[in-house]
Amino acid sequence: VDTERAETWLRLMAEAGLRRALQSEPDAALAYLPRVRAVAAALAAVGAIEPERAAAITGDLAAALELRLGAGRGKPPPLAQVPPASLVAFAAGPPPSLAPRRGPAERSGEMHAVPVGQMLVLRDEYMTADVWVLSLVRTPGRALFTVSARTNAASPFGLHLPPFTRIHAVDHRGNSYRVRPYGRHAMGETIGWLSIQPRPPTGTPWLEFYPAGGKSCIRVDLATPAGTARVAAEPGAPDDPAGRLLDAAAMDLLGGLEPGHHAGHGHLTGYLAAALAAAGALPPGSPAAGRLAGLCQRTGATAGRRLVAALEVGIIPAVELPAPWTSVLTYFGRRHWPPAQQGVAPLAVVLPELDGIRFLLTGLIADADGTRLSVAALGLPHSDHHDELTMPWIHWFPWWVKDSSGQCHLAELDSLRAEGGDFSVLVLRLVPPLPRSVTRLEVIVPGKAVRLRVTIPLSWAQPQDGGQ
Amino acid sequence: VTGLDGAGQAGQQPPWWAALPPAEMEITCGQARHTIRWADGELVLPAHPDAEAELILGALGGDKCECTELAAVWRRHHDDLALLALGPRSAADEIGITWDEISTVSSSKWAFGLQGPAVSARDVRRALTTTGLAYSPLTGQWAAPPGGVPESGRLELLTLLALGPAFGMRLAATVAAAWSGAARAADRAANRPALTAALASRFALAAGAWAGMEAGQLTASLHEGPGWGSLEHTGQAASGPASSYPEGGLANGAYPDAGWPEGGWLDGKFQRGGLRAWLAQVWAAGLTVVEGHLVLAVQAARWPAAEVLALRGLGGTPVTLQVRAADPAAGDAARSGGSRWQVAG
Repeated sequence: VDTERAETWLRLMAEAGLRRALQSEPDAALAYLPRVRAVAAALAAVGAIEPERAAAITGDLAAALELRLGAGRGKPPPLAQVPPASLVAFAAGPPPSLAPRRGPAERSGEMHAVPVGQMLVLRDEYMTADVWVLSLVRTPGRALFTVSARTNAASPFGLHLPPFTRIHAVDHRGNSYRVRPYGRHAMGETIGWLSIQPRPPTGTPWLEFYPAGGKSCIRVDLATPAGTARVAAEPGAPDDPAGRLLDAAAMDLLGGLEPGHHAGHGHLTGYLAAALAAAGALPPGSPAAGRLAGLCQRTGATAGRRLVAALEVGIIPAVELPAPWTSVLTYFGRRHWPPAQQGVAPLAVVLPELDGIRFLLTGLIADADGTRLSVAALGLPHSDHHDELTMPWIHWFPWWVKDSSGQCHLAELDSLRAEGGDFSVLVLRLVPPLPRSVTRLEVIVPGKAVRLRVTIPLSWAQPQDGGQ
Repeated sequence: VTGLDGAGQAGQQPPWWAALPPAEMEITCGQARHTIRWADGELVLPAHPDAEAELILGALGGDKCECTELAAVWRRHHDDLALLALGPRSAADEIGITWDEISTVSSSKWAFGLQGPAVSARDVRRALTTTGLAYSPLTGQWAAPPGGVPESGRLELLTLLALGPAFGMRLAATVAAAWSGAARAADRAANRPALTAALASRFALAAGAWAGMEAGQLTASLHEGPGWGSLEHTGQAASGPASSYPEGGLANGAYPDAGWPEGGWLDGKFQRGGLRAWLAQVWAAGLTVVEGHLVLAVQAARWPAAEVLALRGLGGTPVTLQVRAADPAAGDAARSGGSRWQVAG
C-alpha cells in the first residue's frame, strides 16, 4: 500500500469537492462531502492512511465548505444538511469481524438454544396479537425468546405497549419472571424478543407464559434438544482487505436489487475502486475489481459506468461472477418470480466461534414483506455495524443462503440491536425471499480465514401447531 | 531588466514577495483604530513601533493589544499547511467570515459547556462545524476529531482568514515560501500530499480555463529538482497518466455520468523552486494568466513590474515576458487578492 499516494488521492478528492463550492454548485459540493468521507473511511479500513489523518482531511474539507457556503451569508450552516461524520468510530478498527467486541460479562460463557415453535395469543381491549415463540436463547447472563407477532392493529402498537408488556412467566416451582418485550415493529408485523428476567436457573424444565388476565398460557419445554444442523468449517478466501471492501460494495448493489430496497452506497463504487487502486491496495488485475465491474455491467448500475468502461477496454480483468451472485441476478432477471414462503420456522443453531464471534440462528419468519432470519450474537462489534461507508457490517462478511431448490439468497442486515455486554440481536433479510416448499438451507457464514457451512433442515410451523 | 529584483544575478531568484504590492487594513486595537500593513513579506504594525517588546510584556502579564496579538498569530501560522487547506484558492474565492463571527465562535466554546454568554443554537452549531467538531450519533455529543487542528489553532486560522482576501493570499504565499527552502526537504517529503493538493487545486483553477479544460482534468505534483518544473499534456485520454485506471477515478468524480473526458490531461510537475515560484510569486500575485499566457515563474520583479516565464499555448515553448500591473494606482490589489496584469510593450 502506498500511503503517500493514498493521502494525495484523498486530498485531491477533497479539493474536487471544494471546487464545486467555488464554482457556485453548493448542492454538488455538499453531496460530494459524504463521498470524500466514504473514500477516507475506505482508505483507512485497508490501512492506506492513518484514521486520524483521514479524519483531519475530511474535517478540513467540511470547514472549508462551511467557510464558503455558510459563513457571513446569513444562511444556516450548510453542513447541517450533511450526514454527520462518524469516521472516527469507523476508523477505530478494521472491519468488524476482524475486531470482535469483547465484553467481560458473557464472553467466556456459552450460548444455548432451544427450539420452541408455539403460538401465544394475546388479547386486550385494543388489539389481538398472534405471537409465534420461535426459540429460546440462553447465555450466562440472560434468557430470551425470539418471537414473531402479527397484530390486528397497525402502528403505533408495538412490543413496547400492552398487551405485550403484560405477559409474565412462571416456572415449575411457581417462580414468577418478568417478560420484557422489544423488537422491530411496523404495520402490525413484529420481529422481536421476549427477555425473561431474572434468568431462569439452569435445569429449569419449562416455563409457562401468561398473558394479561392469566386465562390462557403456553408451556415451553426448555429441555428440547437443539436442532439437527450440520456445521462444517472450510478455509476462507485469502484475506484481502481492499478486495473485501469492493466485494462489500458489490453486496450493496446486489441487496438493492430487491424492489423497495435501495443500495446504500452503490453510487460510491467507482470512487472506492479508484481510490483503493490509487493507493496500491488493489493489485493490477485484481479479481475483486473485475467482479465489481462485471456486476455493474450486469445490473447497469450507472455509478459503475467508469468501472465498466475500464472493464471493456481491458484495464480491469474480466472475471466470472461467483455463482451465488449469478443466482441472485438470474432471479431478478426473471419476468415472474416463484411464490414466496409464508410462515415461521424455529431454529436453534449455535455456530462455532468465528473470529471471536458466536452466532446463533433462532428462526425464520416469512411473510408478505419477505423472509427474515433472526440471529443472536456474542462478540459482534456494536459501534461500527454501520460505518462511514454506510455499509452495514454484514457486507464486509456477507452471509449467503442456498435453499433446497438451489436458489441463493444474500442476507442483508435489517436491524441490529446491542443488548449490553457483548450480546446483540439482529434480523437479516434474505434477498430474494425464500420460495415455497423449501425444506433445507445451507448457510455460509464467512470469517477472516475460515468460513462456516451450516446445513439446516427446516420445519415450517403452521398456526394450528401451536397455541392453546 | 533594470529595476527588477533578481534580474541579472545568475542563479538568484527575486524575493517571493517582489510581485506583490503592500496591503493595509484597519482593525480595532483597544479603543483606537490602527492600521496593520503587509509589505515585503512581513506583517508590520505602524502604530506599534516596538511590537516585539509589547508582545513580551503581554506574555509576562502586561496589557495585550489586538494588533500585537494578531501579529503573533500571523507569525505562529506562517508555515501552517492547514492555512492552504482552508484558505483562498484564488482571488475570487470569497471566504465570508468576519471577526464578529469569530468572536461568536470563541464565545460558543464556553457556551457549549453551558456557560458564558448566550448564543443561538445556530451560532453554536456553526462554531462547532467550522472549528472542525463533529456530531456523533453514537454518543449524541459533539466531539473534536482526533488529529485535527486543535480548536484554538483553528480559531486563529479563522481570525487570519477574516482579514480578507488580500491578506489571505499573502499569508498563503508566506506559507508556500516557508515550505520551499532547501533545508525543509525532509519536511516536504513528509507532507508532500498536502503540498501537492495545495498546488494542484490552485493550479487547476488558474490554468483550466487557459487550457480549455475542466479543472478536474488538471493535476500537479511536487518534485525535488532544479528549475520551476514542467507541464505535460496527455491528449489521449484513455491512456494518459491521470486517466488510466486507477487515476482516472478522480475524473469519475468530475464526470460522474460521462465517459472519458475530452481534451486529455494536463499535469503540472513542480520542482521545489516551483512551489515558491508559482504558488508564492505567480498565484498569490494574481499573475497566473496574463493576456492569454500561462505564467509559470517570475524571473524578476518589483511591483508593479515583473519579468515572467510564460506559455502562449499548450505544447509551446516558454517565453520571457515583461508585464505590468494594469492599474497600480487603483488600489484593487490591496483590497483583493491579486493585481490585474498586462503585457508591457
